[in-house]
This record gives sequence, structure tokens and C-alpha cells, in this order.
Amino acid sequence: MSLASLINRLRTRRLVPPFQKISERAWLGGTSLQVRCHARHLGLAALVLVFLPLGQARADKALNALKPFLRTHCIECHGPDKQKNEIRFDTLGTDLTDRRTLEIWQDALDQLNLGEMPPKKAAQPKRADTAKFIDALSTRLELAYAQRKSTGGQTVIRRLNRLELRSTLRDLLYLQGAAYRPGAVSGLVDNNGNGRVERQGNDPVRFFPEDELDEGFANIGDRLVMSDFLLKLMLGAAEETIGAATHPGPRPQTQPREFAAPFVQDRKLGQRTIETVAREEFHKEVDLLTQRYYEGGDGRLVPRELGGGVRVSGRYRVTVEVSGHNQKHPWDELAKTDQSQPFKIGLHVADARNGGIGGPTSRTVQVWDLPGDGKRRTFSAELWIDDTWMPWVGWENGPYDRNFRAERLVEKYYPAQFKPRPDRKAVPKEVYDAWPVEMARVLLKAGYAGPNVRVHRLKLEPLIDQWPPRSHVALYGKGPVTQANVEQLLRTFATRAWRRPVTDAEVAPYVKLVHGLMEDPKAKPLGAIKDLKYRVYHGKWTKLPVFDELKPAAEGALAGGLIDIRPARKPDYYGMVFEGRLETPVAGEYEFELASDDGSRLLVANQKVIEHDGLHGASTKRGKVRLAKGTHAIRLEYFAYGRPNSLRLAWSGPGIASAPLSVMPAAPQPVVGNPDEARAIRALQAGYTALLCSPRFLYLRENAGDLDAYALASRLSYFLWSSMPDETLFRLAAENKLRDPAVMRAQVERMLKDPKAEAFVQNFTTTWLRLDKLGKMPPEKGGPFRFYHDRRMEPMLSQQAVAFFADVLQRNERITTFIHSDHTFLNAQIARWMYGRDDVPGEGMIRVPTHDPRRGGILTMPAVMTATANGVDTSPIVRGVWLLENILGTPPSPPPPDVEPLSPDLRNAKTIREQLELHRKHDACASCHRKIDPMGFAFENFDPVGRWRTHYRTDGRPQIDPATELPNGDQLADIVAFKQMLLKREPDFARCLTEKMLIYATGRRLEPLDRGEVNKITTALAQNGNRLRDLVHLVATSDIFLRK
Amino acid sequence: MEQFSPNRRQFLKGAGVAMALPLLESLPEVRAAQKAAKGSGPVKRFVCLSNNYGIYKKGFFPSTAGTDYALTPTLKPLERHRKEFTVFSNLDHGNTGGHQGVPVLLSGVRPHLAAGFPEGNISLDQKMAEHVGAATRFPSLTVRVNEANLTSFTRTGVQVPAIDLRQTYRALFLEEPAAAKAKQRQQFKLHGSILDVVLEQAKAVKGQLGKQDQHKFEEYLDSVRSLEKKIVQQEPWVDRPKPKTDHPEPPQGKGTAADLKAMMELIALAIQTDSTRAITLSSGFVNGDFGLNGGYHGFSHHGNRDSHTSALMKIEANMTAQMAHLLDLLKAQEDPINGGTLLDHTMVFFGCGMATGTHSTKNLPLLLAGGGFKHGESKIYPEEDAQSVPAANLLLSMLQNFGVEADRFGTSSGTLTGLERKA
Repeated sequence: MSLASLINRLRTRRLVPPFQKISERAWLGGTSLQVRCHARHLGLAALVLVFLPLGQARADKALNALKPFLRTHCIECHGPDKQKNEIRFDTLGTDLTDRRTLEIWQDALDQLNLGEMPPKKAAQPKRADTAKFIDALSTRLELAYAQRKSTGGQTVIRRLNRLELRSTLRDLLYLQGAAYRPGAVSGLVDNNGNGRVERQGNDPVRFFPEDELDEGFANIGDRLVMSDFLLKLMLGAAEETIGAATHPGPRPQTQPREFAAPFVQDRKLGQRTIETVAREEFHKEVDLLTQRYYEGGDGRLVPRELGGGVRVSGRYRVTVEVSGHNQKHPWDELAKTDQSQPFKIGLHVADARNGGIGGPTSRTVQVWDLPGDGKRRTFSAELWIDDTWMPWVGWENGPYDRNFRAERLVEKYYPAQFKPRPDRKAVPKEVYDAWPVEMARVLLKAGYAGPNVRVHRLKLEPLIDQWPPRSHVALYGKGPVTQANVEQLLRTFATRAWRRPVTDAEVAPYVKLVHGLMEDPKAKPLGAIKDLKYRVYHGKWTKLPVFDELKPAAEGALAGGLIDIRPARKPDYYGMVFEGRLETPVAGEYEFELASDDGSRLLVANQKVIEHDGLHGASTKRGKVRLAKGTHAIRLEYFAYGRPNSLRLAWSGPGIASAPLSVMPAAPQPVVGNPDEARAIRALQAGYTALLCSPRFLYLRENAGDLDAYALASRLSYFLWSSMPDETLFRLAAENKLRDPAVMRAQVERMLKDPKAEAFVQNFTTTWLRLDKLGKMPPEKGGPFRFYHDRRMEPMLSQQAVAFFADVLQRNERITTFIHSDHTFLNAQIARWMYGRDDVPGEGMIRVPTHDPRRGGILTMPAVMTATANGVDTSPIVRGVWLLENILGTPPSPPPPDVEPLSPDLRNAKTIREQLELHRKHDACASCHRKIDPMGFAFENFDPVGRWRTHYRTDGRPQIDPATELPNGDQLADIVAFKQMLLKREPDFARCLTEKMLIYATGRRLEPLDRGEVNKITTALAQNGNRLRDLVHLVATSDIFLRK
Repeated sequence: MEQFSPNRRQFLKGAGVAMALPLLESLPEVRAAQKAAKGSGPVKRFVCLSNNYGIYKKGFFPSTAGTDYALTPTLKPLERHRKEFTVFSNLDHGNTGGHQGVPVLLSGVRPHLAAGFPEGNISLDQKMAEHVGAATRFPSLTVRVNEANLTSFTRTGVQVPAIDLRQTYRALFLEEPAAAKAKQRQQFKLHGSILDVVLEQAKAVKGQLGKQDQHKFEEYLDSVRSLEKKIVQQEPWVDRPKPKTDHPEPPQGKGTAADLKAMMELIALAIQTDSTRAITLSSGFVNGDFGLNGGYHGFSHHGNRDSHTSALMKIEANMTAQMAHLLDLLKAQEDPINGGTLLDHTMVFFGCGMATGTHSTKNLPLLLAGGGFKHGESKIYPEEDAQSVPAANLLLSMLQNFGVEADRFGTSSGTLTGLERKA
């Protein structure tokens, strides 16, 4: 983001096509229905709004009043005698709906703004006259632009944006997992700041480009576009999610996994000295927790085997057995705890792929009370865990202090056994390093009297409450898929996917498609292995042994027909032989693809097809074999050396797509079993994919006038959940009850209490505060803000603002809390790196008091300060404009065309304030910048990532002067005084927030005619002290919300 | 006579290795292209080399016009090609807004203003890709090296995602397994039938919409039709073999210079094998290279500090040096379709939609090599308002040179005066 401003005399040119100018101005205009003219002339704008209804094209008094000026100063060159540049003003019309007319008026304004006209050699108008002309014309033109952009106060048919799409797929297909959590940031993570985004995981929209924004809103109907590219992605996302929802196989084995302490064996996790020494030498059967976790991996416990995740996504019951000790203890001075309270043990989950237990994905699942009486207790929680996620255990209210160390404890409580640390220079490094360990030993030997938690056991039980799972039943019913029930299945699905009742005619083409595919013999897929048996051998080989001469350690059958090495029940040093029969539908050449780690060999119809022996990684080999139609023996030999080990096999036939012959944990469940059934399922999947690519799914369609019951249900649902209506909303729509204000109120309450409302909290907060700008110009990896990357601060910054918003919403607090509050939300990292505080533990955002008036509220949070900077330096202009647009709702006019950015010459260490003062000396700049700049100076004490600073970093380290003088003459010394001023402008803020929420809720810009309804809302809102939850209710029952 | 730098031999040696390809005439797609070329003029290609932070102006722009201009530090690496390129001064897109200028480079149209233009903010490469259609395996390639590529947009204003070095190599040369191909064929067929149903339904939906919605809904109908068309275009390529190369897969992540050089070689190979005819690249900087500590963005806010401007010139001279390497490769290779060298028929465009320092979008750093234009000059266009020339005129000239019949592109007011094709 550059500093957009005027500074010099500027070049103008005519190459910008007329419409560009028009839309540029309109676009930059801001979302406020007061349009920009408000910033110029509040009174006049209101008048104009009253007297110039939309679409008016009559003779225009405001413009006619400007003509004398043109006649006096311009007509000589642009009149009957001369028409320089083919422009004449004597015949200029006043109908601004005519593009050419509008263009000429705009041009006149630009020329005056820039001081280009009248030419220097001609007589100059009085400055006061010019100023008056500019003001009046600007006001009139702003209105014309607003009209031009108008959608007539209606929401244009809107495409689901990618976040809405993701949550709709989740609810429609009953999918679960971290990627679908409301508010989860889409899978595109630029972890290293070089544009190399990561697109892993199962987020169905991870490949989707960002949606088009209109003033930060990602749901404005006429702004969102559709393209073939997007449609192709949609096809892929539909196929992927439908595949993920399909589970045709038999109920999987659900063996619990149990892990006995110590979980940590090699000091990789939980590196605290006392805990490590205890685990290794004193309490070998337990993991000791002596402190609460703080940041990084310390003080957190996860069984080593789960360090890479639980491996299979699903619902789990996690049970931990723990005991608490010494709740009452004599070490209060160095191990400070609230001795009257039981210990609190937390279960958390984190993604191994993204920083692990100490990383940004860590979040708390449940917290249990554990009395510190030494008795063992077990606690369990049920939750969904994705394959790469892991559960971990931590002590929530244990002592935390950086001085909490064995040596200090020994020194204080066992002074006789204390010995000082040896001199680093006098002793070998090992001796020096061994000292804390030695002290820990002393402490544990002497008797650890401090509070501690012992973790004995963790159990992980996969839970399958229903099989096939709900997602599968929703798609395929409970019985087999047949020609006859296809229509019913499609119809039921379409009713939910399209979010309203459907007719036979609407579903008929999809039924036809599925029926056609069911009959198509070429679509017949290759099956899995029949009568698949396996034998396991134990041993350490470097190439395949002659298995048949060895005695198998175990044998069995695989009912699914898919090769699987898990029955070996051994991580390494074993061999397996698989045997079964393959059925070929036609004669021809078949290709096999074998990937194994380590060696393997494939025989089909007693011929060696692939030789892949020896020690190697999971490399792929292919082989072809001609097979007649019929049944053929298949044999696969395999051995596993050191970890990791894997085995994958697939085959394809003449013109027949590849089908897996082995289990693939990450891929969608392959279709197995009866080939006709499999074909039917595939055909039906194509039908569902088509339903999801239909505009009835992809777009929110709304009827003109009062929304019908289903359109209203969807609007409400996408407002608060960013997703489709649930059963309750569908039922209320069918009964047409949502227009009843009492019903609506109850629904809004119900929906806000639902976890899905996190979508509203997250998306509205980021939209309103323009946090979409975060990450667009992040600070650099090297340089002064490197901690921002090293600590992966960015996602936390939004989380902080979102947590704050959620809390205000939940408590229905006054909206002034956003400006000033005695509390804030912090986690350990933000507290330490941004606020210089050491008193906040963990990754989760916690409500903490702040007695620093600079830091309360949401405005000065690092998220906002970073989003309004460019990663390198700060600008009062950008922050001032941000405040006017998003807090006060009085966006300034956009800069005139051809403005050169203001760029500091840093050699002379001129401060931005000096430059801006220079800049405001220019008449054309001053009219707006005397309003903008003062709104930004107060924020100068916050650096480009939102840390407090008193000096700039530039040469000479000039001191920052945050004082500001408002256009009305008010002097404000700093950010604290500035916030006080904002509190006095509560009505402006309330109106701004109301407008923003209305736009978010309806997916359209507000227009002048909406003014009355907005006033109604703000009046009602003020009656109860401008409270946030009230606002949500008022928006949902407003006329604007209930109509297209 | 061409300047012969002592390094040239070395470069050509490198080029020889890079170009170790089988006789390309035997490839069916090249034969087909040759056949087609006989009818409709030579086959042209377009390569755009860009970055996201501009070029330090003082290190880039020559102070005088004409053929005898002194090469500036950033142009110096191109010295041996000075007869093969033209550097332009005072061309720009007439926009403001610093970084927002970056995605405007190849269209002249800011994304949010796209609605006001008949073809939206489609970028030059995508416009060319539409023209190429099914003639090459990839209608266009959008690639990146240590940086996001923000230059490529479809006519609906959707940014084309970019691929990195590894993905580029694999896309160009790595043959998909037979099973994947079979699956792909089947999927094309299935998607075709799904889209048929969807389109039929969409027409019915349209009838139920109000006027304003109908207008917006056209986008959807266009998307379905255009996707169907693309499927038809791509289908035959599934079974055509990819070109084979001895060029090994380049390692990725070896630093600013090595990664960019490797990408230049892939670009040359992509052109030589006629895998695509429109390529855009954005490249960046890896912290620590060239003895510099910091990031490209930080340096670009140089505030005229020497430490920053010298860093910029190092980073940017590497870009031109790697461009020179690409020109070497294209010059050394005979054009299998048109005859002459590849460079004769390949426009290599270098530039950014923003300058550095002030983040100004005035006077964009732009340079064009090859493609059959008359080169060897520094062209300085009028700075004055009334006579100023839109940079989109250069885009239009390139578009026409590519073989597209158009008299307007983006914000153009005509073709670029003074830029002539070789006889």
C-alpha cells in the first residue's frame, strides 16, 4: 500500500477511458450510504439526498448554478468560438446519467483540482470561487457515481464465496475435520513469505482463488464473478468432497490404542529440566508436569507415537489418567499457585504438519478439575481428530515463572545442598551444562514438595457410532443403489443442496444422467482382489527371502480385497505375502503400478510383472501384462526394513481407469464390493457433482420484493453461519414463520449460540476491520520484524481481534468497548512480542485485564495496525482513511487522478509529519487531508506490526509526535485523548457499524434510499446503549434484510 | 557487429547442454504447427519477465534516446544483446496506487475497474492464450521463482495461479502414468456430460431471474460454455506424448540466481518444444543472497538510501543477467517452425507495473527484446501530459505482432509509434 496523496503539480492525460474514471471514483467511495460527499459537506449532502431521488435526469439545479463560473472562465476556449480538445461548455448538458456529460463535468473538476485550468496566461478566478465550485461539483458528482453504481437497492444474485462454499459442503455432506471448522482460514498458507503457498490438507477450497472484494466485503453479489476456471475448481471440489463422504466398505476395525507413561523418551518434547530428570531417574512410570505450559513445546505431553498425528481421521474418545500432588505446598514463593483451587488439566489438539503442539494450530478441547490429593483420576473427551493432528495434555493453572528452576528451588529450600554454578571459563562445557541437571537431581532426591501433576496413561479409542456414517447414508441411503431409487436419492439431496423444494422437472435431467452412466458398460470399474489372504513373517532382510520356506508369524484374510500392511502389527522388520484372485472384465493389456518401501515383487497369472526388490524408499515401478477375460491369480511379496514402510498397488486396464488394490489412508475410500453397486455409486456421484455445479447450488437466488420463506432462511443462515440452513430453518421456512419477529429473534439467538456462528464472528470481524489486508504486505523475513515470521504471528493477530469481537457479542456489550476497554485478549506470543507482557500462557486467546488505556479496545490491536501499514513503514494517511471509513463511516474523497505517491526521502530523516504538513499546504490536497491526516497521527506510536514505539527507526531516530489537531480545532495529545474523542462520536460509530453489518448480511451495498431504515435501526440500538448483540437482532429484522 | 562478451562462449556452452533435445521436427505437434504456420504467417511467442516491486529507476533508465545511449547498471548485463532490445521511457498505464499497479502490467486495467472494459482486465498473455487455443499443450504458462506471480488474469478477472520450477519441469516433460491418462480421459468425458446437463438447467434458471440478475448470470453461462470448450481443446493432448529431454530436473531452492537461471532454461525449452507460446514469470529475492540481508520489499522502499539502492541494483541486475541468458538460449537455437532463430519470433518483455522507491506507477521500467521488431534503441516518449503515450500501446503492438487481429487492448489508444517490425 503506498501513500496516496498529492504533492506536486501533476500530469493529466486522456488515455484513461471515460468509464474507468467513473468507476474508480465510485469504487473508492466507501460503503457508507452517505457516500463520500459527507466528508465534504454533511449538510449539503443530506439536502441533495432528499431532493435528488435516484435516477433523476431532469434539469439539474446544482449544475446549472455552476454554469456562470464556466461562462466567465472557460467559455472563451471551450465555447461557440473555440472548442479546444473538442470540449464546449455552452452546450454542456446536466443529465449526469449520460456518460459523456458526466465525463466532461468530471474533467472540469479534475482540471481545477490540479490547477491546470484556466491556463496560467489567462485571467485566474478568485480562489474562493474556485473552492466553492469544486466543492459543489464534487458533491454533485459523488451522487451521480453512487447512482451509476446503484443496484436499485437490491441484492444481485450472488455466488457462494469460497468460505461459504466450504461450510455449505461441510453441512450438506456431513463432513468433519479441522479444515471445516468455522472460521478456519483457508488452506493457502504462505509460511515463508515468498509466495510459495501450501495447498495440502483436505480443505476443498484450497485451490480456489481469493474472492473479489468490494470494500473488503467478500459477498457482494454484483462484485463476485464466475469463470470457467472457478467452475472447473468447483467440479474438482465437488468430486473430492463427495468422495470423502462416501464409505461403501465394511465397518472398519476400531482398536483402541493405549499409551503408558512416560510419553517422552528422548527429551524431544517437554524439555524442562526437572521434568526430564524426574522421568529418567525418579518417576520412570509417569510424566511429571511441574509447570504450566507457556510457549513452544515446553510443558506439553503427547505420546511419542502420536507425534506425527493420529494417522486416521475420525472421531475419537481420548482418555487420560492423571493424578495431582501437593495442591497445598510450602514452596509458594517460587512455585506460585492458587492453593485453594484444584489443578486444571487441559486436553488440546494440534496439527503436526503445522508447527505441532507448540504451533499456531494448537487449541484447547476441554479443561478438567483435578484435586491435588495424589489420587489417580481419569478424564475423557470425544472429538474429531484429523489424521495429522494429535492430542496433547497440559497443566492450565500450574506455576509459571521464568525463574521457576531447580537451582533456585534448591538454593531457597535446600540451601545446604546448593552449590553455585561453576564459572563458565574455568570448567569444561559439559560440567557447566550439567549443573542444572545436577540441581534437579538434588531437588528430586531431597523430595519434591512443590505442586505437580503426574500423567500415567493416555488412551485413544476410535468411535464409530453409526456405520455407514451419516455422510454416506445422506448420499446413498441405507440399502443398495438401484435404478429405481436414484430419483428419490437425487431429489432428497437436491432439496438440501439447492436450499428449497425442487420439482420433478428440475431433477429429471440429473436422473437421466445417472441412469445413463449406470448402464454404460465402459464405466465399469476394475474391482479389488477376491479372496485376499495374507501371511506375515518376522525377520530382518535386505532383499526378499523365499517366503514359502519360512514359517509365517500370522495369517489372515482381508475382506475389503485391498492390500494392507497394518495386519503385520509391527512397524519394521517383517515380510508379508498377499495372495488372491483378480477379475478382468475384458481381455487386453493391464498395467500395474507398485510403490513399496522396501522391496516387493508382483506376480499375476503366475508371471512376474514387477520386480521391485532391495532396500529403497517408496519409489514407484510399473509393469504390463496381457490378460484374458476372467479370473487370474495375483501374488504380492513384500518386506519391510527400518521405518518408514509403505506398500501401494493399483491397476488399470484397456480403456479402464486405474483402481487401487491397496488401502490408501489419505485418499477417498475406494469403491469396493459388488461391481454393479460400485458402478451405481459412481454414476450417482456424477449426478451429485452435477447438482453441485448447478447454479441452484452455486448461487443465492432471491426473488424481488419481500423475500420468500426459503430465500429468507438462506439469507439468515449465510448471515450468521456462512452456510446453508439447517433442518430447523428449513422447517420454519416450510411453515413460513421466519417473518414473525419473535420467531426470528429466537432463531438469531439459537444460531448465535451454535458453534457455526464462529463463521459470522470471524468473517464479519475481518471484513469490518479490513483484516483482508493482513498478509498482503507483510513485514519481511529478514530485518527488524523477523519475529513476526519466526513466531508465525499473523494468524494470531486476527485471532486476537476475532476473540475480542466474539466476547463483545457474547456479552452484548456496548460497541464503545471496541474503542476503549479495560480488558483485552492475548495469548503468550502476542503478550510477549507485541505487548511486552509475560503473564499470559498458551496459544489460546484469553481475556486479560489491561490497565493501559493505549491498548484497550480493538483499534490499536496489532492486527489493525499491521493491516494499515505496509510491512515497512507506517502512514497517518492510510490509518486516518481506515478510521474514517471503518469507524466513523465518513470516508474521504479518493485522491484526484494521477497522484504521485508520497515517499519519504529518508536520507534527510524528514518525518512523515513534516512531509504531510508540506503536502497540506497545497489547496487541492488540504481540503481532504486536513480531515484525514489528524485521524492518523495518533496511531504513529504503533509500528508497522503494532508494537508501541516512541521513535522512528530512520536515521537520527526522530521522536514521534502523536499530537493532532482536528479540523474543529480540538487538540489531542496522543492516542488516549484520541480515543476519548472517538467515544464522544459514538453515534457516528454506531451508524458505521450498522451499515457494515447490513452490507455483510445482505450482500449488497447500501444506497441513499436505505437511509431511513438505517436511522430506524440506530435509533432503536441507542435506546439500549448501542449493544452489539442487539444490533445483530435489529439487522435481522430490518426491512433491508427482509427484502431482496 | 554484435558485442562479443568474453562470457558468451560460456553461456553458449551452457545453452548447448540445455538444448540437448531430440530432433523436434519429428514431434507431431510441431509438424502440425509448421503446417498451420504456412497459411497464417509465422508462429510468435511471448515471454514476460516481471517482479512485484519494480525496478530502481536511476539504475535502469538511460538518460538519452537513440542507438548510442549509455547502458545503465541494470541494463549492463544485456550489453551483448543491445541490438536485440529496446528500452522505453515514459510509458505507463496512467494509474496511481503503488503496489496496485503490479497486476496491471499486462492489461493497463486495474482489476476493480475491469467492468468498464469490453475485455475486462484480461492480461496480454491470456489474450494470446485464447488465440493459441488448442494449438499447444499449454495455452499459457504462468510461472514464479521465489515470488508470487500477480500478472496473469483471465477475461473474467480471475488471477491465473502460478507454478514453480519443479511443477513447471514436470508439466513440460514428465509423462503421466497410463492409469492417470486413462482416468483423465474418462474424467474429461464425464465432465463433458455433467456440463451438458448443468447448462441445460442453467438456461431454465435464467428464465426465472429478474433483469439485473440475468445480466450477472450470463457470467455463469459463459463459464460453462468456455469450460466445455477447454475440455474439448485439452482432450487430444492427453494421448500426445510430451517432448523428451536430457535436461535434468533442476533442483529448486538454490537461491536467487540459480533458481532464476534454471527457470530461464525451462522457458527456452518450453518455447523450443512449442509446449506453449505465452509465458509470464515473476521472480523475487531470497534473503541472504548477494550478501544482502533483508527483503526485496524493504529494499524497494529505499528512500534514496545507498544501502537500499545498491541492494536493488544487485537484485535487478541479476534479473537482466538471467534475461540475457534466456536471450542467449533463444538466439542460439534454430526455430523449428518458422526458421531463423527462436528469438526472431519470441518477444521477451521485461518490466513491472510499478517503479521502486516512490512506488510510483509513472514511467514504468519496460524493455522489449526479440520478436521480429527493430531494436537497439532507447526510446524516450514525451513526458508532457498532452502527448503522453499509454503503455498499453506497447501491449497492443505486441498483441498484433503475435498475430491477433485487434485494434484495441486494455487502455491502448493505438499501437506504439516508433516501434517497427523488421522488414
